[in-house]
Amino acid sequence: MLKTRKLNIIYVEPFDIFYPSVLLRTAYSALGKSLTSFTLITRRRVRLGDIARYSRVPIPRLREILSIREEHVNVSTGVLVSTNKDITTSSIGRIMKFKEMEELTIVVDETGEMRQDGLEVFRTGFFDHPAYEAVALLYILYIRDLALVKKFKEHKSIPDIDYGELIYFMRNIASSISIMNNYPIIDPRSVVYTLRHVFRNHNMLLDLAKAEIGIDYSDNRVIEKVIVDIYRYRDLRYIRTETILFDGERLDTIFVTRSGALTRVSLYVDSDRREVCVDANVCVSSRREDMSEELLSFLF
Amino acid sequence: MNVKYVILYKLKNRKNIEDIVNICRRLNIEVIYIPREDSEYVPENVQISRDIYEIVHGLEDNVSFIVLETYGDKYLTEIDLGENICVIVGAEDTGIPEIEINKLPRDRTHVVKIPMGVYGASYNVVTSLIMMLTECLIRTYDEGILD
Repeated sequence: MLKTRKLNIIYVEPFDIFYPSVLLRTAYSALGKSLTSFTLITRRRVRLGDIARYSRVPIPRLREILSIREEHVNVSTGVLVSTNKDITTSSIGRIMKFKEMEELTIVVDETGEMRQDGLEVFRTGFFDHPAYEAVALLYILYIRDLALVKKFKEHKSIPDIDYGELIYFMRNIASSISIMNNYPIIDPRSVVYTLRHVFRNHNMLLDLAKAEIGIDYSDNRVIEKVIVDIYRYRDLRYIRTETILFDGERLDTIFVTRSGALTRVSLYVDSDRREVCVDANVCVSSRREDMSEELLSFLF
Repeated sequence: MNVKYVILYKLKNRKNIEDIVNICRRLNIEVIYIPREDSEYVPENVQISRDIYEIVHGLEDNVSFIVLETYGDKYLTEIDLGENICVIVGAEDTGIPEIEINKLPRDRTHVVKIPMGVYGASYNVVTSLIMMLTECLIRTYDEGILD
């Protein structure tokens, strides 16, 4: 996980509200709830609807974090982003130390006049606008590292199930991950038809009864619910109804043990890498043909 | 800078196009613009093309293509960038259809995404390109980019 839990951004004297809004969109998309405040310092009249539209931050969240002030706030520690070449930039080492800190304040100055003591100064010199320089800073400090974040840390114990069947299921699920409006979803029919093959080995038949895919746009969450009826294969006698749940990361599914008993299994879905995982190191990918050493040692 | 070309695939927002053209000019990157059928704005002093296939065949054989897309299945940080890069960014609303990506040489193309912490979110097209260029700067100059 990222060490910085609280990121505050102060944007000084924006000429065009588009630029702070685009920075806000970047910071929110990358850091979510770790972006704890976004303050505009301006005497101009600002239409909040413009910020909501350009930043795409859900409005309830935007109302929590956004504030507009006329007077500047004193900041004793943090990073100043300025395109004024008369101000000497800090070394990368001094900037990178903020990655390890619980809280960081970034001040983005469009005026080029700020010289606040105690702040480290950042610019690459390659991007004309301070908002874009601030995007580069966020990328260097946080966004690159998001690729390294393992969301699934706990090691789940898997019930007594046939690992060949589990891998078959995981691989098919990995192949059926798709992205809808930037939210990960799993095709309900793929879940059920893959499980059908597994359950057939245990003299049971699954039937897709109902599927619901819901997106909570205000909280950036997906809620997928797949309801299946289970029948005895031989004579289609109804056994019971089960629900398979997927929340964008965790897939909680019905499965079957070696002895043929119904059980539940929780798997983790890394939609960015198209992988389905038992834990952080034990994953099955849709694009990797051979199994990882971790997976083999976990299974056998 | 190992990025030599940036292809703008049917971008529609004038401010986005202008900002990208300005950034690329500063970094000596050639911009190639594929306009929409109904484009009202076409940037000046950039190469205009109608088709990705046409562009690919006009570039050198050693150019590698990096497509920034939310449906990419690798992160930008996970690929070898190469020396001669053409970055492709897609329209703000529809991105780049996969049928267009299939026109690129498979062995020299990566479809990558930039990591996000929030489901359903997305980056602005200019900021995506800035992050791509920052990644190149980091790898080219290691940690010296700010000194």
